[in-house]
Amino acid sequence: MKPFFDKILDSTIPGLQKTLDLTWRRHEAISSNIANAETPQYRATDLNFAGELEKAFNSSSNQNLMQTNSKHLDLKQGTAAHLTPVYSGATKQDGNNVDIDQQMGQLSFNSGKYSSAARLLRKKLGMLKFAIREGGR
Amino acid sequence: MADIAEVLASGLSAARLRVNVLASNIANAETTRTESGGPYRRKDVVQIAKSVPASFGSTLDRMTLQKPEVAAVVEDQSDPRKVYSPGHPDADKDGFVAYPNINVVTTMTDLMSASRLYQANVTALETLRQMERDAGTLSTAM
Repeated sequence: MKPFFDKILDSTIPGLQKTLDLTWRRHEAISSNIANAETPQYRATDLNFAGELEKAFNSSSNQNLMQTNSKHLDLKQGTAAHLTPVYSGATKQDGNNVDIDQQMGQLSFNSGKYSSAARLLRKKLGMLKFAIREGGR
Repeated sequence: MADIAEVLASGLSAARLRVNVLASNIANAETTRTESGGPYRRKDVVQIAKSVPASFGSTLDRMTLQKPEVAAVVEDQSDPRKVYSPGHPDADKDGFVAYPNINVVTTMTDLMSASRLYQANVTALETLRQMERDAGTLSTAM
């Protein structure tokens, strides 16, 4: 079953899935920063999008850890996206280093990335649907 | 998924409370007599970050989100501003009236920044809704 699907489903779909997942998480990080823009001692957090995406691609091709039991955790699915504190940027007197303008920019950029990935995934699925339908004629 | 809406919702209520407190400071900038005696005292918001109770998935991914929360509204304990105005009913024996220690200009800019922060939280919530809508369109693809 799997080799057959591997031919149809190249890395586009998993890649787009990962992009959706990571941009969603990044939105969570940015939202948390915006909500806490005036909280003293709060450190801004972010997610290394490019690094995490690369990690996801490499882990699916290189390190194929065997799942000898169905209860084993699937590493491909659960690639952890770590939130890391941001140390750059000016820290205000109250110990908070959220730059609200930068965060708003990231917010809009990130959500644009999310809708592009969703649109691409929709197109890809549409192409599969087309191939399945028209193949029968 | 619901976690982040919760974080933004507490961001909204914290920002709203801040606006209310600052507005009360501006409104009472000249109040020389209060129910508790003495002039009005400037109020300030003490905001803290509180970790959202993490779901299993987010613990696994080491995603701990923090939501803002107003721990207390404190009163400024510094000495009131003294203005010489004998004849004022609240003047002391030397003719000085105690006014609240409020700078209307800085309070006004703080008020504007708090209301901008409220809008920023609204924008993040709207973006979340848009992303949910984008995700919803995937179901119609097949």
